[in-house]
Amino acid sequence: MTTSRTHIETIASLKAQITALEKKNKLLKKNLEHNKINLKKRQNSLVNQTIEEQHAKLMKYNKELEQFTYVATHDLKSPLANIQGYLDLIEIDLVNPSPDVLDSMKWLKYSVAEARNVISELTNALKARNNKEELLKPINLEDLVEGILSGMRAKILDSKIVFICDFTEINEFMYYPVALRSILQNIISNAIQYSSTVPFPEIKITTNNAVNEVLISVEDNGVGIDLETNESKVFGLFKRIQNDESGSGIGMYIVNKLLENYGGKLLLKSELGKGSIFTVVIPVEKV
Amino acid sequence: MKTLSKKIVLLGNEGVGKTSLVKRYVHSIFNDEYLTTIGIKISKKIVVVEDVEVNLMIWDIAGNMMNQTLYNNYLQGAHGVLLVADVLRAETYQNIIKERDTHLSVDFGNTHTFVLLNKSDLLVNQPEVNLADFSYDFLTSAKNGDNVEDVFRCLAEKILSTSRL
Repeated sequence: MTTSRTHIETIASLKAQITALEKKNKLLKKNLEHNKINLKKRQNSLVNQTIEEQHAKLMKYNKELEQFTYVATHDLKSPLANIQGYLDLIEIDLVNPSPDVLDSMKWLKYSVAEARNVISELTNALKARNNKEELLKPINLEDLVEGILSGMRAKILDSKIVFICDFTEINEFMYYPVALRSILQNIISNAIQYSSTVPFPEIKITTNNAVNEVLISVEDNGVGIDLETNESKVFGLFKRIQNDESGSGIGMYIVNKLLENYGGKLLLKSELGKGSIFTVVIPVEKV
Repeated sequence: MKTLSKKIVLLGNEGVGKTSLVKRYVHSIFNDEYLTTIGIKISKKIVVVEDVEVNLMIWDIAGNMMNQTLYNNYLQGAHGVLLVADVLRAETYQNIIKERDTHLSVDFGNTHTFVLLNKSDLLVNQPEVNLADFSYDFLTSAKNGDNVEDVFRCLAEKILSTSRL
């Protein structure tokens, strides 16, 4: 009798303990839920704060960059005008100049004119930055590439690279001249850099006409890139590939960003020791 | 209509007007501003010779490339060569004649060649220039277009007539 009463009491006590534990558990769960919600709120608020800070920083950088570009383009105008003026004066005073001196004078004047032209185009691009359509213009690729190559003439002659330009497939189309100039200048400059060390350097620039797209290829027979190990580095900011001994690692990043902004993409085929083909694919309306 | 592609190469010293001739022929334009050609520029123009449509692939080779290594590679496959001289610079004429006689006729004997004296528009008031001193096929002017169409048409006809033999 006594034993069974004791058992009943024990069971009752255990039941009471279970009930108490269940209550505590419920309370703990409630607290946990509450804490979770609070934590989430705090996390969200922290994320929002970070996003806001980053956004503010970006806005500030953008503004500074815009101001810098304005100042740079504006401040470069007058020294360039000065150089142009002095070149004109020197030309007048030259007595029996040799053909080489005349040639150098011509290229100096051409380079100054090109620099002034680029500044003027940049200024226009800045003015029209909120209306991209204003920048869309007919492009004559032969003239554009001629301008780029002429600006690099000394470097090209020095490196003995043979350029072959074939735009027989398509030469005229609508795109953004300032952007395309920068895109091609970076790719060509890259091709020169990686071809100048091979015995018979050659760079081919060609066009292909596809449906609503123009493909502009720059093919070199230079050192090439091992794409298996370096593909991700080719377009990264300040990233240089393994066999690269010079360069800032910024050019191809700019190319990619410009194509992202203005529409288009960049394709790359390359083989170590054989050369590379960079192909710019741009959506276009034919002129 | 039958379509054929033929390669034509322009050779000559810097500043004789090769690029201007191509621009006049292909785009019907002339620009007084002179920019030395860098490397090789390839242009295309379609001409119809009798019943054949001919794609003339015109290779404008920079004057400074003559005699460079690999120069022969770019001449390879040429059906016709236009040797261009500046009518006011006798040395440019002598250079192309030398190029024709010592190089082209030796390494590219089957290629048709025409000698052009360009810049005929500058002959006005130049009594010291005696055209009888030169042996040439055409007197051309990229500036006013004189004989430019004829040069390319005659070369296309000559190339086709040989390929039909």
